Amino acid sequence: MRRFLLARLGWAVPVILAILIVNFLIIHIVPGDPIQALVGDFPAPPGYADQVRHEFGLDQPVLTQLGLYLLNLAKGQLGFSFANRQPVLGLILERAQFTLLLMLPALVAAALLGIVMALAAAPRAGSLYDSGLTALSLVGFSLPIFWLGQLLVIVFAIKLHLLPAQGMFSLRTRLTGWSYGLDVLWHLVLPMFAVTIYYVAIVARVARASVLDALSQDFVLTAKAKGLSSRHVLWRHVLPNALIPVVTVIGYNFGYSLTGAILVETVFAWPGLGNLFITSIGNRDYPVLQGIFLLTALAVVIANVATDLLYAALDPRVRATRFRHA
Amino acid sequence: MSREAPPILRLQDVSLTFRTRAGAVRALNGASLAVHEGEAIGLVGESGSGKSTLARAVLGLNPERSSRIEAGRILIAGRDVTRLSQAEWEGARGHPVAMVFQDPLSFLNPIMRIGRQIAESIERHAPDRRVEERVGELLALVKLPPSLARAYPHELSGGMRQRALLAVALACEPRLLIADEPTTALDVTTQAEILALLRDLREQLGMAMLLITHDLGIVSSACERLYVIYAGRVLEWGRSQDVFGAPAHPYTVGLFQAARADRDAQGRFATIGGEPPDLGETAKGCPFAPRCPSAMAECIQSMPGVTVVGEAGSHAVRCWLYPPAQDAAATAGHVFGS
Amino acid sequence: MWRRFLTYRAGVLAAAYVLLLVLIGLATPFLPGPDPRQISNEVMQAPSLVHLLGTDELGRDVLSGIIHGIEVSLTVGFAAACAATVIGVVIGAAAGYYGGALDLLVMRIAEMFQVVPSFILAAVIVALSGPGLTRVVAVIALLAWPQVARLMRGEVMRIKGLEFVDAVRCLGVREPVILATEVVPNALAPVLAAGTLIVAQAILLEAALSFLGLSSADLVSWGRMLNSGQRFLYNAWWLSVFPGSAIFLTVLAFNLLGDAIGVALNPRTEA
Repeated sequence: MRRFLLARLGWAVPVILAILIVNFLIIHIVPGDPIQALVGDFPAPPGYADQVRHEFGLDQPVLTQLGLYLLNLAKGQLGFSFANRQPVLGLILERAQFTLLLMLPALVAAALLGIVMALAAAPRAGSLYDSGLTALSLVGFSLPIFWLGQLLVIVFAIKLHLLPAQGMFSLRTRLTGWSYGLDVLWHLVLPMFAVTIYYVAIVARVARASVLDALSQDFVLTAKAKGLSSRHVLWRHVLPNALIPVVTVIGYNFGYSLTGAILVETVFAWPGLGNLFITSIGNRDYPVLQGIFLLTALAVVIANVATDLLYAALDPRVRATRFRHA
Repeated sequence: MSREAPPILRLQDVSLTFRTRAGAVRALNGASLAVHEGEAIGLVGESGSGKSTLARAVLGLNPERSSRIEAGRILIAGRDVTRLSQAEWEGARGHPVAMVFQDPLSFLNPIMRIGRQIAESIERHAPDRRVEERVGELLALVKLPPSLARAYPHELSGGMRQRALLAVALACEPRLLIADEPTTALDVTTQAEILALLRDLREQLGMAMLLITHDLGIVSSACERLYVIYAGRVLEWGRSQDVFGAPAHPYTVGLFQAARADRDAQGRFATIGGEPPDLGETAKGCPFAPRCPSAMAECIQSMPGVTVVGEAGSHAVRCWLYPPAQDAAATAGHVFGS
Repeated sequence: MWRRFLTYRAGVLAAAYVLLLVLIGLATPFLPGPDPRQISNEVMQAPSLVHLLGTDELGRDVLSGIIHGIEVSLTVGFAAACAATVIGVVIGAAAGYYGGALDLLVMRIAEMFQVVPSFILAAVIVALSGPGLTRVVAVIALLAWPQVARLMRGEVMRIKGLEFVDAVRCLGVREPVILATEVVPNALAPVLAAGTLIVAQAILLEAALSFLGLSSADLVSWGRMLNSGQRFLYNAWWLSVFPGSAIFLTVLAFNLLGDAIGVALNPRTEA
């Protein structure tokens, strides 16, 4: 297990390094002075620009600049957001909580829903219901998620007055304790629904294929020949085998899921990373934008490694074969 | 040869078709056989002859959506199982008839421990037993150490996997074990070990066995009687010693020649010429006729009845080279073993 | 049965829709109707006979905007997909054919591109470098080529082992020529399907960028229309519903087309 872990870290380190370098290069694509990318367009106090210019060695050769840049990152120095009057790192971490609050329940819901739908469809492969599921997942892939969000707002918030359209809590009353929590949940419903539909499209597609694959495996015959009920065979033999690729795909698509959540947030004014992202675009708050890219990219790498570990925990074969090849 | 008790398994004129995109395929065409308590029977044929389909039909394991038993009866301990619904089947598999399959790696669940896979059978068929203890007993029965209960299939060698698969089947406490090419995926030494184990188990447990194979050598050493199947039809059957001593059907003769790798006058290996039959045809005659060195006009027109050859009625064949006796129907029943 | 039939039918329908879109896109400058940038005092009009799909907060006609938006979506979609496909084919073919260190390097780079959240990277790059169609196309192509490269590499590795390639080699043909004339053409079928799917992704990505306000304000695009629609969800649903439908249908059509091409060119695909 330790060697497997090391092998995965050996994969992650160069990827992280590459991400850092990409982020460094981004500074230099700003037309004009790269100092703009590090300070942003928001009025900064006089002298700050010169201080940053010195800290990042912008008058030095490129390699020195890269070295200084990495050094600053290592110190957790992602810059300062003047629009928010807050260091970038803290700002992003604070907002990331709200994104996760939206994203994780949606992921769980989508995983369950997608698997259940696939379990229902796969034994009847080729039927109209099964084709319907495939069509549905294609629709999910093609929906601009922010537009889906807008439609939900129009129907459920504006026309039907069922659910709140914007924000994370009611502004008119100050709630505390349980009622505060319920209020947040109430505001979570619509954005979570939008994100869930988006995720179900991926999960259902993969789950259908993997359930179909597991059903056609020979060990299913052995299980039936033992006299097990088809329900037992489906839940104890087919499902666990089918789940492995599903879990993997969910984990590897963490970045895709994150993107979905970020876009939905902008529609619902959910105060997470997406909202920070769009306001920072408006404010030309470049350090924040770069910080968001850097941290989400790192999160994706971590999610990938975590997925591999989970995969190894779920599938005894991987554990062994990875041992041999690692 | 007639016995008192009803056979543990009897197939009577079973016909089974698969629906495929290319049209209907008749995988079994009036196949009959019988296995009595404690008996070891060989079912011999080339790949595609319908032998695995027959084995799976006994446990209702052919794909339910694309296969259909058109005619005939399958009696397990006297009970016709061809009319069972899917739900009824679920209760009927495993006991009194259990099955082991060909490729032990793909037929074991890769992410479930061996012990659990055996325990599932126990829980299904003998739930009062103390499961862990019983798993250990079964592993010992197939000569595996009890520690293997914690292992996953990929951690075992081919021979160990086949033993584990055997333990899964034995946990159902079957009176008949159907073994579908149980040694094909194994090397020669391991084959011999598994065959010896099967023989021991049969003696120890008094269990009948239907051994399905393309390998005549295995049948001669392990089986008391054998059936030769071709294109979904049983062409010849009888006591092993009789069939081996004097194979009657040209197809059987061809099989024996191929197995012994006899060389003809030019020093070439003898093989059965021609391609396996197209099962989609609804041809009337003997399915082997197109490849048969002794084919006659009748062979193409109709399928011959049953002829008893040799003494004591222990050996029978369906071939026009052996004109049927007058009371063919009566002898057929006799030879099938009732 | 149903799947094959539906895939085929949907593919034909999608192809017809795309063709229609291309024709309208080409004919846009000659079509009658108001200029989509034309401000009028008929602001926030609900759909009516005069303005079939309504007007926005500056009195601009939504239908006209959707028609003129075809140009941006299709240009970005096709240009980005073509660029990504060409880059991917060249790199993937080279990596698959020559193997070794080149292969390892290229595949590691491709892997990294697939790991980073591409939309966020695209948005950051466009936000910092400034809007512009060429930039958007370049960024999308940069992010999408690894899909094609991986596919191409796999196909080339499969084909270069086939007998006929050895036969050609025995004729004394030089390696790069074999690659270009014998191997690559035989590997193009799945690449075509993947390229069509990239058109869909590119259109979606462009729309998302414009929705975030990352496109020039004077450019008529569907995503941009949704951006302004977002501000008026309460009073003018038509500003959101119609441009969004245009994006959705177009992306769906390219996805269906890509799937249908994949099925049509690969006889082994499950029924």
